[in-house]
Amino acid sequence: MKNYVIRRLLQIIPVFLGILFILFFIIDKAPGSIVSNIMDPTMTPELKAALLEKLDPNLPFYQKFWNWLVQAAHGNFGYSSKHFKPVIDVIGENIGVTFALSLTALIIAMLIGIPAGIISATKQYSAIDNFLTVFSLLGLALPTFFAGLLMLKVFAVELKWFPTFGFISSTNINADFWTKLGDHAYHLILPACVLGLAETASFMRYTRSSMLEVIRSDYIRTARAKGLSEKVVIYKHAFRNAMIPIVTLLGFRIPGLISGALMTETIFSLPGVGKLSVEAVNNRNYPLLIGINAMLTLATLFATLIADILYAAVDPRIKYD
Amino acid sequence: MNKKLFVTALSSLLAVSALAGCSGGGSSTPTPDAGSSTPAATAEAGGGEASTTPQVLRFGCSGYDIVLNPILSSNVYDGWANDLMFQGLTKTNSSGEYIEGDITDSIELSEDKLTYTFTLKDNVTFSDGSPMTADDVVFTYMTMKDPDYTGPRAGVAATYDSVEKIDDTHVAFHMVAASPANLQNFTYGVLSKAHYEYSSMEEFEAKNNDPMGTGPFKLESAQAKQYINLVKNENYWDAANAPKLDGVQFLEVSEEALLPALQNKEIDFAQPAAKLENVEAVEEMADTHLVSYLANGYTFMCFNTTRPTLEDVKVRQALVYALDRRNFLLAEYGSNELVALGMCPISKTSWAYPGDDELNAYEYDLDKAASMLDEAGWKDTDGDGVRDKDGVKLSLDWLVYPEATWPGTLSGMAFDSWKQIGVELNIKTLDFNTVAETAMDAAPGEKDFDIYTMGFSLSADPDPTGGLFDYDAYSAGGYNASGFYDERSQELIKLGLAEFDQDKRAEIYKEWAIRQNELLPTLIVAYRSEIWAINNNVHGLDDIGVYTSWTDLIKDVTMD
Amino acid sequence: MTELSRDEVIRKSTKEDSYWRGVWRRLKQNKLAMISMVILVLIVGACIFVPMFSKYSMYEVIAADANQPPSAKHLLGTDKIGRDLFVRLFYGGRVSLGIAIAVTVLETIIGVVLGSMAGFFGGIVDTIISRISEMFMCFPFLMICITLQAIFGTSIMTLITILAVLSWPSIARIVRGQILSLREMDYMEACRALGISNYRQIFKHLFPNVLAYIIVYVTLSMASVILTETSLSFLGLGVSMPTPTWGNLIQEARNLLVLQKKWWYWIPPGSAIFLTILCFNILGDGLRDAIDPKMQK
Repeated sequence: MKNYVIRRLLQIIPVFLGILFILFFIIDKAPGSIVSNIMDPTMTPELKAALLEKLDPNLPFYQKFWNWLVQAAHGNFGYSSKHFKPVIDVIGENIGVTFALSLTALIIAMLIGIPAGIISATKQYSAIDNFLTVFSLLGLALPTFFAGLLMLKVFAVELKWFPTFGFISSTNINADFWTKLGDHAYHLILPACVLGLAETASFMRYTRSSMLEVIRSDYIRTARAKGLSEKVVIYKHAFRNAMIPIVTLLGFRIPGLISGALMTETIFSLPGVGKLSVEAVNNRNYPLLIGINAMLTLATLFATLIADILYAAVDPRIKYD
Repeated sequence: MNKKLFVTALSSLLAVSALAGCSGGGSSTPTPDAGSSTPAATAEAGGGEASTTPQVLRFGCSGYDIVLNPILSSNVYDGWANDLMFQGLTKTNSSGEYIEGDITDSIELSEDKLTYTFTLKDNVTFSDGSPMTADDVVFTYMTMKDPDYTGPRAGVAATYDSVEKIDDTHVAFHMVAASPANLQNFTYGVLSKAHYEYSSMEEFEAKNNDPMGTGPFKLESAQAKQYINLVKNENYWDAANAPKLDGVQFLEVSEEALLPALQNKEIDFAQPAAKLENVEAVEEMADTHLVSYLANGYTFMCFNTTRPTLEDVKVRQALVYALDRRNFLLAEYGSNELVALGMCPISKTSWAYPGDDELNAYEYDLDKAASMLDEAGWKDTDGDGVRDKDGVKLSLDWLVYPEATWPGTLSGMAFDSWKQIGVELNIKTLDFNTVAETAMDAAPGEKDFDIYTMGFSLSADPDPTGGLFDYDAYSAGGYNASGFYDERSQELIKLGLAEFDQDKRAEIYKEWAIRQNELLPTLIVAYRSEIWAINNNVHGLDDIGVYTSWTDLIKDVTMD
Repeated sequence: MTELSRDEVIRKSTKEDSYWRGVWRRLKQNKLAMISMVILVLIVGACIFVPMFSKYSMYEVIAADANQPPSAKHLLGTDKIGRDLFVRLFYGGRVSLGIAIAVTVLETIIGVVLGSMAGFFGGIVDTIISRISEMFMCFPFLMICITLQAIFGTSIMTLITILAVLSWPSIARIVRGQILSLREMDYMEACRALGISNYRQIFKHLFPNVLAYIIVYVTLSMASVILTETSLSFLGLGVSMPTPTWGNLIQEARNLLVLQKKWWYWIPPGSAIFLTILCFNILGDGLRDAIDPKMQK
């Protein structure tokens, strides 16, 4: 097991470098540059070319890749010329909200999705199964931006229960820490529900599928035959095994969450890396784009790694050598 | 039971550590406060008249970069915040002429029209109370010429050779070339040399978190993609013109939430997109009113005239006749009040606009379009419904970007109406940067498009040098993508810059504009309006106009 | 071919016949799934046939009728430039469903092949495939979309390819995980002991056991591709205008006032997306229950 973890950790390195390498290659092939957006007749072609040379020297992409690695090893992750700030600062300003949003959404999704999936599986074909199935799918069946707009319309505009935008009320900008924290939470509820709703269906479906599978397996039948109570059978034996695919699911919901967060961030005017990365693409702000992607890649890689390790931990049938 | 707990704990741990793994790449958790000065807004509210709440004007929009430095910012919204914190040597008056700025007493132009001498007011101070002198002006304008400078004003910096301090209140700019448009280069806010002096450009740029200018407001705090919080500058030098507001907040509000936020009074005013839906929505709001005016800018449709299909002016004119622009404007903007039919490359708001009678509006006429194509020799010889000539089909690629809705609407209408006159249209949706790269950055001969559409806003001076219609800008990275050469037009552009008398310049530009309207290397599709939705408890903003920004009005703004 | 193996083939095929008949029988018992299937058939049928019989074409602009609510002339009203929304809705369905089917088929093929190889062979093959799938999962989706669309043009084919190439790792991981755990089971040990070829092990013994998961995934994927298309339209990276897709049509609802007042812009495509996704998911659930070999008595 220990060897397995070490080996998997080591394997992250080539994957990470591989992704970055391909990213640099794609960027090299991508049309447009950071100066293409400048629409100012006083910026003559010569001045634009000179600016481009300063911001993004014309080097082969593998050279840029190598330079980035060398700099990153020294803790320099590039400079966002659009913001006139180091990339790491720009990301730092935006990442907190994305994490808070994704985490809240994930918790909402798990809290609703997993119990719903278990109930649904134990009461297969019953009215409650049908109801839960349809209900959990409602969130999935609406495009995120559309669900966001509807929620905004109903809960913020009509009912006025929640603010229509932002991460903090304008009156609380100078408030103390706890007031601010409460205000942030208040601003997060609506967007996190929108994001969480879409994820709920995934959790519910996988839990249900996986529970059904386990419930019908031989050892559960044996457990039942042994005369164990249904509760013990379901929650002690079945649930534990049914968690395996769920754990894997958690691992690869991370990129999905980030891209879902993009829509929610946009509609609810939240600062976040999702929106930031779209801007970076639109402006061809490559240092920032690489910074964001390097970070998200690492996050995803670690998430899948942990999923795999958990997989091994919870399923004694899988052997790792 | 233990095992179940273990699994649950591990799965939640997974979630948390995955997220923590991410932040390893970023810096530490962002602090809620951008580490800036004292909470002045609340402090001020307590002082003075104890019972009154502070008057804080809240503006909502989406897209701040929070680059709070007038010579680094290229974002119009950041620009407004900078306008409140900084003041420049020149500004525009309400009719679009460049005049002395708030900190300038007078401007003198030398005989050879190459040297501008500015006399500065002698009582101007920065927000820390220190006096502003010619040194600060020299510092600001020489920073733009720093070889390490990567801001958006390199083009401005290229218009002057040097900046010379004569004495504390006199500063001279030595220009590279004489031009009546030169005064537009001095609108950028003056920075405090003592505060901004730097040993490396990054050090200078880091001061964006802590701006210092001579304007009536100063920065209290800012948070990326959330807000810019400005408070009154208590040390403002011009006491007579000091603002009555205690602060101005710039809040990030998505386009979708803009009007709801206004309705819920979470913001006080906003500039929604000029569309009928928005106008109707604002009119329905009880406590909000609308201000609108024709803006100084246009949307255009550029023809690649180096293509065999588009080199003939008759074809270009026929295509425009076959474009139902009036219905397009109705569909996209909902009313004729919000938009005017595009005529020529000079804005209707400009002193150089020729007048509607002198220009062809190309009213929608499919029969005329068809007969013009016949005349030009484009006929459907192979019966496939698409006209052709010398083996070339009249099939056009139109580059459309999705960041705005109007190019999609216009091309969607053209798709149908051009088909009726035997022209095939392929609409290609590419992102803005790719369209710009294909049309502008590519070298002549490699510009791979037939038509592209875009929108520009213009500076107050009508000089077209280096722009869409200047053949000299037909190059890799230049703004002219049509590749159309007309000797007289080029001559007129040069004449316009050699003339310093505004009436004579107007005549030159009128002739030039009429030529472009007829030759159509690029069609001006529409002149758009701008609309402002302002809460009724805000007074003094109703005079916003094409050359009067709301920041120009700030000193008289009050709130109930 | 020997006598024996022909017998085996015959026996096998009749057994498979009854297997699928059993699936169908069980599926019929699931009312929700049957209703979903009927709705899906209706939606698909309407998307195929309605545009054929409409008097308007999907690109035709009738400026005089612009922005009309539903009427006898235009059953679902017209859009802001005067195109008939009824014909655009169903044509849009053709495009959206077509994309969803194409992407799902492609990604499932890639994913199942690579996933079963990884799970079955394990070792170095598993490592390489797993790492490649991780790389694909981590790719910056937007950047790739923009770049490939700029290089290969903004055609529907490009979009399909991009989506398929970027989404196969999910199914590959599911298949790999299943095969990994099945491989350890007794009957596979028996297979190996009997010297049954790898090919037969995968396709005759392992594959049917993961089929349930693949089918669940396929239905989920149909739904998620439709959603992805909507999201891409939101970002302007979807199918080029003026081609209608459900994603393009529902973008009109981005304005809250349109949402409130011009209901005929968004309710039809919104319901179409909603119903289709819902039904695919429910049908997937039903199929999963019906196919599951462990259900057989």
